[in-house]
Amino acid sequence: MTQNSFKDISLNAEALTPQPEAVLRAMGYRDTDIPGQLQDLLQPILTEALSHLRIRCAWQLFEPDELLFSRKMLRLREQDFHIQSIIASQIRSCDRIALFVCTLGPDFDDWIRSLNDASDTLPAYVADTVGSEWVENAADQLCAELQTSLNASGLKITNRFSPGYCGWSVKEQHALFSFFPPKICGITLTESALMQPLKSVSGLIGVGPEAVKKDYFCSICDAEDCYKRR
Amino acid sequence: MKLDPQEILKQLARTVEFGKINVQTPYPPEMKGQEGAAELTLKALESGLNPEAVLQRGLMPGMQAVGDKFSRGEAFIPNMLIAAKAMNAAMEHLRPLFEGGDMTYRGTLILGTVQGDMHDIGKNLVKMVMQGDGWKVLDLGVNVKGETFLQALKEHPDAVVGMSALLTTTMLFMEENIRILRNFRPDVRVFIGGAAVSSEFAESIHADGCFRDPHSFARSFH
Repeated sequence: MTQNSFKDISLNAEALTPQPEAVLRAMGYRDTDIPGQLQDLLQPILTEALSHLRIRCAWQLFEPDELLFSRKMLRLREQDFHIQSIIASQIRSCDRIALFVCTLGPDFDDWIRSLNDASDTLPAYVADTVGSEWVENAADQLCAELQTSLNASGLKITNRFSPGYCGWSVKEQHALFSFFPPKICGITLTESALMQPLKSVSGLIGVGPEAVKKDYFCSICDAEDCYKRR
Repeated sequence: MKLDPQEILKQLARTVEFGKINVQTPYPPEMKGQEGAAELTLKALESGLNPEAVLQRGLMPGMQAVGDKFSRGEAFIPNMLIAAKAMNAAMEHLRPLFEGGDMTYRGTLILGTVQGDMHDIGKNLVKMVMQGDGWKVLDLGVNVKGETFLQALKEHPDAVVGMSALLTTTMLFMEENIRILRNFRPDVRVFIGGAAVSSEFAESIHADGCFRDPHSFARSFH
């Protein structure tokens, strides 16, 4: 698959450090008591995590003549993405698409594995949650960088959408990654479409003069058990 | 002052519920300086209680309490991990007595994340909760092929099997794994879990059940 030129950048991990409150919310703590063991563990985990991070991301922008939008599908060159109606409705106003990947790097996975191998699983769980928040922050920063690069041309972006969510099959990770060089940002895909390193995010972003980014769109999706529904 | 055995068990349950491992544990603040699960387990044994009674009437009620809070959305995975750590500290004193022949396990659970899937947080939590509930757990790890589940079942033919998958791609291996296991032992009970699966999916692949949380899974055998 021919690639357009793509941006491949490293991000400042420290600037993307999750807020402790966000990590606790991700674990479920909103109005309930937080165990002292957890409160005292969180900041040391956040601090140590920094030494295991090498955040990299990449995106590629596709022009209007490479795209065809329909009610449940996006055709990008000869590749059909069955994004389903929720995502399709969010990018309908766009005339361009960016595909992106983002990762915390392999050292973070190794660190969590080492915590899991020790007898105390709480630090491993906390580190795992911290990692999930961190990679989401990194993907948000990627979106900000993309928007900055488009400002001069008056183009705006939508929210980002990933395979495995909002009805878009995770199997289509393979199709998404086919638009990037092998091992883009050090990310590989297993046969079952699992990204490795595990703390990686990929997806698409709608781009166009009429693109709209929403604060919260979980209300229009029926996946009740999705961990992103907060 | 010598404590009544029932009072010891009651306190023991609280130490498990709140993760008070031993006297040095500074949590929760209201129990600082008090004996923890380790000390109270020894005290319970010294009072004349047998290991099975200490487990069933002291430790498990503590895990049950945090599990009930988890089901109500008042406690979350860290609470369960903290309680399990206190439980394990207590079990360090009981396990040698059980392995000497005093304990009957509730059953054997063969547990693994299916092939192609590397997620293990949920599986590890199930392992801790089920161990805390008196099960012998054989953890096969992650990326486990059907043949590996089968080999474990051949070695433990009366075991229950639990399979976990986080992805819609990897959960598809569960059906084939169930077929492999039931070819060997038609009445083997197989349960599934993980973010990708549902009760409908479990029914469609002839699994015996699907549970959203480890506590519900443990309680289903009571």
